[in-house]
Amino acid sequence: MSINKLKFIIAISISSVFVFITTSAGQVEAPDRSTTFRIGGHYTALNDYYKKAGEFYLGQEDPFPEFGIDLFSSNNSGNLIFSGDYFDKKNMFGRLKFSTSDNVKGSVSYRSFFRNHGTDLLENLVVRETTNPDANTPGGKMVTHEDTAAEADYGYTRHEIDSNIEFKIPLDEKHALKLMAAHRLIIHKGTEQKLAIMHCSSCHIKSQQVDVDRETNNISLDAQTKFDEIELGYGIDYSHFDSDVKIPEVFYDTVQHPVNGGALEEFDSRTNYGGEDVSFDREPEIEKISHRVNLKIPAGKGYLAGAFIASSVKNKWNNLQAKSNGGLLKYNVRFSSKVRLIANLRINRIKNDEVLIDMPLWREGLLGGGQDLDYTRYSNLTRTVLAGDANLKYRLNRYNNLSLQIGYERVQRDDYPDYNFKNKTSKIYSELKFKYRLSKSSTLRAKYRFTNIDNPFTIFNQLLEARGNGTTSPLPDNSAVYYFQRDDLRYGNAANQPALKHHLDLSVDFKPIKRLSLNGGVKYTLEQNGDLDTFDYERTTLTPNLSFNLAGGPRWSFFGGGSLLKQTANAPAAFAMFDG
Amino acid sequence: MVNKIKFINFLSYFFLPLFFMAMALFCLSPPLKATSEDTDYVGDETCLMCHEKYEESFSKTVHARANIAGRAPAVSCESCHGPGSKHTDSGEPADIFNPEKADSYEQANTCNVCHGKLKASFGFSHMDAAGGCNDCHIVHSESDNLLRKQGSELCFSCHADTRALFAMPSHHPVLENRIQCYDCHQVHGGGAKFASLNTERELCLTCHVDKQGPFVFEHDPVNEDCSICHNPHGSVADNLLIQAEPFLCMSCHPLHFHTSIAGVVGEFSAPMHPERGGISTRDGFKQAMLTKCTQCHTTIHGSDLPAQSISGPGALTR
Repeated sequence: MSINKLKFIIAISISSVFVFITTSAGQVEAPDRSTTFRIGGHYTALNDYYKKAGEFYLGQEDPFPEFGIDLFSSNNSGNLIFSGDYFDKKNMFGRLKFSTSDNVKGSVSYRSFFRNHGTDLLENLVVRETTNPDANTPGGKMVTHEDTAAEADYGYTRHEIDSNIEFKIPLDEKHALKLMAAHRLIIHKGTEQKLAIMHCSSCHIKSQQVDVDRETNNISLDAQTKFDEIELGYGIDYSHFDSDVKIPEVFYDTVQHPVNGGALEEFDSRTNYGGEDVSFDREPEIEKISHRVNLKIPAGKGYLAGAFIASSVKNKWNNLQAKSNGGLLKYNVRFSSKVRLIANLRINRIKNDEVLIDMPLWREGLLGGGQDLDYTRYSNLTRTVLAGDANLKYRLNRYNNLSLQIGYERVQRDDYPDYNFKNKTSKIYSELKFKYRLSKSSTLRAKYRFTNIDNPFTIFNQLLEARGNGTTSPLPDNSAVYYFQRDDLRYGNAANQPALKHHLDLSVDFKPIKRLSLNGGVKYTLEQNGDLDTFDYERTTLTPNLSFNLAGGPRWSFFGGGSLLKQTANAPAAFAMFDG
Repeated sequence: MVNKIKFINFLSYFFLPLFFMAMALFCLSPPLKATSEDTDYVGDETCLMCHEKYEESFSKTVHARANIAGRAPAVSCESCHGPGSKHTDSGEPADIFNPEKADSYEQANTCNVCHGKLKASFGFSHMDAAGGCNDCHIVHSESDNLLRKQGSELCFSCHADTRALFAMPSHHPVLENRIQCYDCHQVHGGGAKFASLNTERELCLTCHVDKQGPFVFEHDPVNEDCSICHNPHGSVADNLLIQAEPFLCMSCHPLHFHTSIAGVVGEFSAPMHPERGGISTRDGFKQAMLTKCTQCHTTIHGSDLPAQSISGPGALTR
């Protein structure tokens, strides 16, 4: 989408709102208006290589002005609120909210910002093997790089237009039908650094500057109505993504021995392509549609709410599809003025298409070759999820309350890590939370959450390698094996997901005087996984923080605070030794 | 397994006593005061005789407009504060209901008389942790949505540690005021806009649709949960990664087998491509293979295109 088209949409949207308001609003009395201007600025001083640190430009090395305006207009027919900020042509914000009566309201907003992508200088990618370190003898393996746009500044501007409108159509004196429509358009426009690797002549990484022109459209339509205590609603969401740039291409080297240029047949028999232009990093067109039905009915001293969601997402480039059907049930009951129970149940089924990966035979026609490497790609997204929790809330008085939550979640993956493996993750958690007034000016909040996960998500058989060279070699009287055969000899499982998790959150609010509040707290999380067959994983996170808020008056306040994050994690450094 | 038993013991020793201690504290706390019912409505004019400062400011609020021309349920002072005759007679603040001094549940009960939609989310965590509607809204205010502060600054009044995360080198542009907390979080509970929330990753994919797939070649954690690799608030590592590369990748994968190769020392050029080359070092392969995995595995979120090698088409290098 061109920027002109974007401007056109914004202009039409805003004009439509104004026309709508002026034609539908009966001018009965003079409007009440107020206008506020804001002027400010930002300045950020950066040293050394700043391209990543300045991910979002804000006064980087140069003062960065900011202008803002707030308009408010209201009369007995409705109101109009406009709020806008202008930084520069890549960074701005504007929002128009309106309501013409109690029956119609809506808003249109536009915002943009520039994201600096940073540049990978690729300087680490230069080396050649030595077959004899003592004699410094060069070998055949090497890594090189090439940047075809070394001076480029990468980044894109993100534009977003968000519009929504709500109509309330009276059905009779007591009942109404509410219709809501929303649309969101997100555009990314700029340039990105794209890397392509070719590795069958010399391991060579080539960098290119590629245009970015992505467009995402989200549309949502909802209808809701209420008959006495029964609420019923239906909604549909549509989402579409596409990229409007030419798919990047790169010339892949002719596959050959990196030193003498020979063994063409050998290298060719191991690769899918070479000696030709090949497209890479293609962003497929994606379409998603979801239907939602929700119902809420009174049940005893509470209510029962249910929802059914069916969605499907499709990669339109290759027609791959993932379908999902799910239901939610919520029971909210008040046993007394002090005790309330909220229980949730969720069931969800996702089915992702399987794909047959059809590959040429490995080293076809050569000695020890001819292996068929075709396989079916099953997906860990294909799963059934069952989750439920109950939250009991106890409130003794207006200052002190306590809640206890217990929950269970089971994720059953049909085909992970391989067909019909039925990998299952079960999670049980409990949480105790309370708010307690220590004195008239201070309140303590505390939360402790314990989670026990049986069989957390793990990428299987990635680490360590069993002995097996002597029995698996495809070559007669030879111990050499291929990399894909060595992959099959791996047995170790590793993960950064915990099997046990403790989370503690403590905070104290202190209000020595009416306009000053102080807050101090600490969060501590300990995550452990002792169930792996390779190592014990552990991650700890400690976050103390202190802040104050001085509300000097209705129009100004002063806030300050500090927070420290300390996180430690362990993981193995498992080397797969080259050629054994 | 030993660790598991150890921690279950820890749970028993820590969690249950804490629970009983908390229960004891509650039982010792004073009970809720009963509200007086022997009072009657007096009308706005009577209230404004003393509280004249609200006459102008309240008239600009959405609540005041709801009172005009007989539309909607009429909102007057006593709609929220309850009947005021006793307070008018005595002048005592204690003789009228003041939502600002009430607890979260009482406030919610008052507000939900009209804002019944929020009843559906009653019991969400903000209701327990915060002081109630008044912690974020000022009913007499002229501000947009009656908020105490606009945008994410309001959230940071309590969530100071999250504010600190947004100051990390890689972050979503919240402090820059380009996106807001409510773009992802529903402060009143419920699901996010445009997200069906059938999996944990749906929320992220409402904006990052290009990462959604389904792809021919998948990276399993991408299907599982974005937070396995990313911290959405902020991180010291690029691209919101919870750890820098290659350490994050090494949490699940071994180091690349080329890492252990020794490099030649000195200048070199590739024999078949003389224009390619540079200065090699003994540790050159460690630098190349142990710095950033995504320099080669570029399509880490998934790809429809096979890698160059027949034996490893799903290496996510293309």
